[in-house]
Amino acid sequence: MKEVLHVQNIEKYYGNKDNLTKALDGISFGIHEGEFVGIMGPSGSGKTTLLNCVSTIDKVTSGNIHIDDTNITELKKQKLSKFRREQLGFIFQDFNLLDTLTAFENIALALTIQKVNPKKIDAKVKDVAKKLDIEEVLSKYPYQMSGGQRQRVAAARALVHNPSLILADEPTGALDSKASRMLLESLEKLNKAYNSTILLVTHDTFTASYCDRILFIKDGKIFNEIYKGEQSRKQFFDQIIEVVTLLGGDISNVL
Amino acid sequence: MYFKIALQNVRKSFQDYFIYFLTLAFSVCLFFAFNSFTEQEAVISLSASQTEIMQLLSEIMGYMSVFVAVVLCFLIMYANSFLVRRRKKEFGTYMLLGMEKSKMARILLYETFIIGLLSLVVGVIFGIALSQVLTIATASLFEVQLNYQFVFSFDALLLTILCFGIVFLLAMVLNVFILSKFKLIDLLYADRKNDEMRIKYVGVYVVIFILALVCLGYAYYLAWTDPIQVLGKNFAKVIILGCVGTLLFFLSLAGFMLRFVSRSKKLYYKGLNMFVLKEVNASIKSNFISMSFVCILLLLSIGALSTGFSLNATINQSLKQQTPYDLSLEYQQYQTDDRLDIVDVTIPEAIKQETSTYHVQKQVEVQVPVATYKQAFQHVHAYYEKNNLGIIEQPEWIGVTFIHESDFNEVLSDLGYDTVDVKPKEVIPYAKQAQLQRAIAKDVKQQEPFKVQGYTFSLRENELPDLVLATANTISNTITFIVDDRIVFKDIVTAHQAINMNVKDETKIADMQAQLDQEVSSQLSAHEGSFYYSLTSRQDVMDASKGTAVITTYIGIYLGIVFMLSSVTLLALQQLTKANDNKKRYMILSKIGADDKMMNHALLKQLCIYFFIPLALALVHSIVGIHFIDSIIMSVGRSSIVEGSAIACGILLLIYTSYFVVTYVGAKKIIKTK
Repeated sequence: MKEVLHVQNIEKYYGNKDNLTKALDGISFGIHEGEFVGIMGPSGSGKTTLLNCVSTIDKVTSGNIHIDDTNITELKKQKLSKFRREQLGFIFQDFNLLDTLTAFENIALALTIQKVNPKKIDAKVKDVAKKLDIEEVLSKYPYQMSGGQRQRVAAARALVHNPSLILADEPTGALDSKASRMLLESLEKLNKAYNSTILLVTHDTFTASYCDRILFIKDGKIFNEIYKGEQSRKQFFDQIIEVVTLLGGDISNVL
Repeated sequence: MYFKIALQNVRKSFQDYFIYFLTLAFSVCLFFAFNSFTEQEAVISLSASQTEIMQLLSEIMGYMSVFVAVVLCFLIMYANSFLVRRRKKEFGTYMLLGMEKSKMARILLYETFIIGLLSLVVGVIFGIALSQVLTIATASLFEVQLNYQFVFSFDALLLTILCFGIVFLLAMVLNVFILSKFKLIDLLYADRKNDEMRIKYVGVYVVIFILALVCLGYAYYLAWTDPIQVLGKNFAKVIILGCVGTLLFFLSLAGFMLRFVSRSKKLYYKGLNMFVLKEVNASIKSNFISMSFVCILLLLSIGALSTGFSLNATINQSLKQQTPYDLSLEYQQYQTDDRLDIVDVTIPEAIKQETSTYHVQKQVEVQVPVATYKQAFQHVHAYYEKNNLGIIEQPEWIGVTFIHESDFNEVLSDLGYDTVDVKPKEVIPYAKQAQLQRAIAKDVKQQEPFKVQGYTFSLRENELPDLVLATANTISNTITFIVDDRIVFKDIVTAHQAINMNVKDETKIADMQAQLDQEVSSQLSAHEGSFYYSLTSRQDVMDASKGTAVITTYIGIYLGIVFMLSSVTLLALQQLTKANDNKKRYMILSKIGADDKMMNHALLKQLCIYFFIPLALALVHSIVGIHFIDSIIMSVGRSSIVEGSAIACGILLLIYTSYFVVTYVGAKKIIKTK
């Protein structure tokens, strides 16, 4: 299977020679096409920095990141914007929908920014809306929708241009449990039925249990990696809890 | 320490302060320059009557400045409160750190003081420069010699400092008031608050937009086709229609544009167009009143500036025509007791000796039945009746004034024109006023015979140059009929004579005028009640007109610039506030992949809509407005307001565009900061 994302020994340092903070300290991993990967870790572990580096918002100090055979660490600023909007789709914790636009227009905006032929926009938006079950809210404004609907509209916006990789940063952070479940089921459907590749960063064990594989990060390093495999979601959930407990601190921290 | 913080704040947020500073400095500069007229007298050699005008001008400017100061005061307070509100988060941090409100007020006070002092100094420096320019301008307006010296008015400086001191004081009080109403939670979460968006059905706006166009169209139609009528009766109607039309226009503009652009997928789905349109549409509700206000202010500004720049030229042009001779003695004799014995004034030989030209022009007025008059002059009669010009005093008779061809030819040849030959059966209706000329031309085309006291005249087209028959302060709005010398009328109701003189030695004109005045009044004292005379020199006319010209020019320019400054500052601050509110939206755009170029483009489009649509509408308004003023001036003489408005628009565009650029740069910076 094709590798969509390949992260190779990346490091991200902050500060100067005397006071160096290693936010990312030699992380390597890969994500294959159609995989649903979660990243977990405590606050300050470097997961947001990792996501920022992958999403080209931040630059790595050393190492390489390949997305779809493009080495994004070598791209210039102008090309980065283009790459970002064509190859990546983002889902944010606080939805980031424009309140002046309808759901339809919010989704269409992602296409117009890419200068997609206006004639094709209608069909594409309707297609993605169908995948995410939001056809009935397309003409509504964000303030007329529930939180779950908003997040699914945001997901549709991230997806509409068929990105190589969807990056989700705490997508369920602002949702109640019912809305979370619906969103995650939608993401799962996208992953399973349409073979979308998703990288999800979360705190939440329940959210993480929808993934195929989870990377745990601590102090800028990969601490553990677990696969769902043939387990049920409940079993996988329990497994995650175990690792999170371990991650929370070892004996030395208690003493 | 607080002073240090304040100083740092000013330096750090200079970009924010820039519009505030620019407006302040500009206001100070204008205020100072237009209040230093008294000092100009010293360097310009003015005659006694001109000095009087200058004193009147200073006085008027004083009153104007009170009005201007109030306008500027509101403007500065508005700008100031914008700045304080913009820094909510910063004050929130101070409060969180435990700083008392009184200390915060102190920082703010220092900041206002620093900016105020800075702009006062810069403003006065530019004001001094501007007052030098104004001095030169005054000299050229009066057409007198200038012994240039550096002009500095200490009084104006004191007045400026006093006036702006009060404004700054008020601003500081306002700041403290705003601060006292702040709550910590609101300050810290100032950015997080989301506006409630309510967007209504767009179709309504199309109807409103059409209504706006109808209102404006009707107002334009009234003002364009019949200015005199409007001035008399429909003035309030046109103004109200115009204002309502403008308001509705801005209310519905965004909705209307949205409606039409969204129809075209190609345009609507291009780049960030959709975002820009929806954005404007969403905020138009809170902005349409201010946009209309800006538009009307701009209209006033263009009007005032065009009048200011053109009146001098208008007056200069008509001055040349209005003063064909150095000195004119005009006297009229009225019929009393159904009789009129024409008495000639005898001018002493000593005075005649002094003249190089000495001509007497006689005109007589006879009565013609209205029915007869109407037959030949249907359009002229209609024009008189419509404008209630008071020509028709009696219901059945109308007075008609005749002049012999030789008398008219004397004036023509004195002014260097070709003479005219009127046939015995012809009459040339001669009028100076443009509208009357048009009415006459229509009547001449119809060629109905004009019957007066047994004579039957055919009407001949008037191809003569514009001129007046004597030097006088006013321009007649009647028709003079030029006839052959052999035509003699009886039953004369009014006899009008003008003795026109050019004098050999110009320095003696004033003496001669006094001498003549004495002579004529003694000669005519026996006929009191039936006589009226006036003695006017060219200088008299010039002084009277120049005064009006200079005063109107300065008032026009002063008010015009203040109006423009107000409107453009209002717009700039509003757009900067909006940019601040929009920061979040632009951040979202950036997150979903819009690059800087795209976003700058969207911002530019947004600003263009807010800046240039009010300007465009104001320009359309002012085309009608200037045509209106033009026709009014035309009815008393020639006008050159069109040239004046070209200069006015040039200046307007310059200041407007520079504020636009400053706003764009500022807004760009605001939406980029995280």
